[in-house]
Amino acid sequence: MPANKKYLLKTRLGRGSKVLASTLGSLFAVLFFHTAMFFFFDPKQVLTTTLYSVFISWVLLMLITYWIKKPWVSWLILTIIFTVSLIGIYIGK
Amino acid sequence: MDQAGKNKNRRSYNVFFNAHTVSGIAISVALFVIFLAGTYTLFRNEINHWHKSAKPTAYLVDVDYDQILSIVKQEGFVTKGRDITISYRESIPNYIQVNAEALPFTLSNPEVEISKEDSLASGAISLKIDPNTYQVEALEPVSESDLLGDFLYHLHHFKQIPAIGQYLAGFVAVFFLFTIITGVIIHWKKIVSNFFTFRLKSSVKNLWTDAHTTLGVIGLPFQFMYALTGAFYGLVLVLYIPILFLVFDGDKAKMLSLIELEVPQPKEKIMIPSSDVRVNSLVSMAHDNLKKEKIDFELIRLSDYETDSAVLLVNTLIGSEQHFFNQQTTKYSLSDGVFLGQKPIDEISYYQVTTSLITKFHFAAYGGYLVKAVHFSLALITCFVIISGVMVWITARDKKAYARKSTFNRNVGAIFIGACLGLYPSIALLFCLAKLFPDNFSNAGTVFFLFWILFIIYSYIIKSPFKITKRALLLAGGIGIAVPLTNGLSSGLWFWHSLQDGYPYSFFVDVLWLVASILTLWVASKARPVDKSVKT
Repeated sequence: MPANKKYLLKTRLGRGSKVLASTLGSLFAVLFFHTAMFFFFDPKQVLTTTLYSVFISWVLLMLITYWIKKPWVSWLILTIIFTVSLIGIYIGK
Repeated sequence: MDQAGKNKNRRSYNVFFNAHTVSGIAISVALFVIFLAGTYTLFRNEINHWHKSAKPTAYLVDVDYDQILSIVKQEGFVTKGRDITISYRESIPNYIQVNAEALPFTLSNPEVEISKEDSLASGAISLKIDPNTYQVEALEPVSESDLLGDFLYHLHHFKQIPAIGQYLAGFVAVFFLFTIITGVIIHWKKIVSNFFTFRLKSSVKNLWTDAHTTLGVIGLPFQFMYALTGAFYGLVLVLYIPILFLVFDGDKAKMLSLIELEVPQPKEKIMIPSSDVRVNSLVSMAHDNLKKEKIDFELIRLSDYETDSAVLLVNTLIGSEQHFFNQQTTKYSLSDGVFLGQKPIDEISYYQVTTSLITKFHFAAYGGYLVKAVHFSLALITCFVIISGVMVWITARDKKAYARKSTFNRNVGAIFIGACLGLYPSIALLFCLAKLFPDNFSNAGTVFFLFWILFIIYSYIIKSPFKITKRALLLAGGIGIAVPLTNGLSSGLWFWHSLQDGYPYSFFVDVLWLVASILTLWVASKARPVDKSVKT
């Protein structure tokens, strides 16, 4: 019982874009989000929490971005996380 | 539920199912290699002892640190201003490891050319010193793949693939975490009812599916832990790069100072009598509150050695049977002989809790051999979950609707099953070769990979997963029985007297191979194809 093709993305471009969003896109979003956390909480605690939370949140974000129907919505969410993190880093510095 | 809701649910199920299948099949072979090599790695030290026919040695606490520091000077190294670490390492044979990074060039007169001797004298230090004779064994670190246990450990994190091997293993671990979570999501509704279902007499596909889900649920916490800690070991250094540059402006020392161990300051200044301000007496002072036989490991670190800010850190680890967290750290000022404080064993920071949890769970180092045996069995179960997952993939595609792609699917299935199961006889062969040529082990590694590749090609030719499995098991059983034989013939340590002679590791490795091989041969002889048309 392989997955029913009816529910999967049909275009090759759409699929590729979504895979890219969920793997590399969510990795960078998660990384920059963790980096921003350093400026708002005790860096010592953040540094330690990052050791494990970076992997868990990467995989969870990977799941969410892959699950969302439209690739552009996934990209939008990633861009929002990314922008918020960058603003955080900018203010923090 | 209305139609739209149902459709949405169906879509989610199919999307997660697709994600689980694709990422699972993509990492299957790599993950199988990691887990199977990992089961051997749990007993890395024992296998190393078996390989070199060595007796287990008791830990030696009395290291003459002062003599070692003078040896470092005799070797021509500049010691002033260095951060030097010294520790006693268990290997075959045991040795004392001295390490220090290269000194930065601070030339007062840049016109003067640096002679070769000068650059060596301030270069990185990596010395192995014999703990009995205090002779320097090697100025350069010797290749670690000379021991069988270490070779399997390197195979476990793909160190044989140059440069990217470790990161590759890290990515496999991340996608393993992804398949675990998607697997739980698609199995969620049936997680309890299907746990008690095992349809042995139903179709082949149901058999594989039940095996995959039931054993997957049994191993779930274990697999989650290994996916997370494995990802940590593989990728943590890479993922810290943006944090290092964006938060700490590329200053590594600043970042590391955050996680440095905090040693509580003593309330009053305690001076050490000047006759005792030597590394040896300070170290023995540091651990005189602990019973000597309990000490498992000791590492000392001299920072800014021979300067006014010289500090000695003594890290003492006691056996993990009594304490989960087992590190005591003592700090002394070397220049004026002041006691700077001690971190007791049971006071532990958040960072230490995290890193010790990761290390202890990953290496099964929290309760002796019973815990290792549990990890061993769960890792074998995980290997089976991976194989059954591949089998579900193959059998689900072995029908008319997939006729167009059937050749491709059969080929992929044959190669994947061949690569997974071929590893077992290859490792058995590696054990034999390690005993036949104990001093020339690097060629054995090449033979191991060649044999494995040949088996994969052979599986590609014979195609049928049943035949591949049966032949792999017959080969592994046959070669495996030869493991204790080669050990007995080459070193004379026959397993019926090696235990009494004081070689427990040699005995256990031999007996385990014997039992495993007989079981393997028995299983292989009982195996019958489900499809009667396949000739054995």
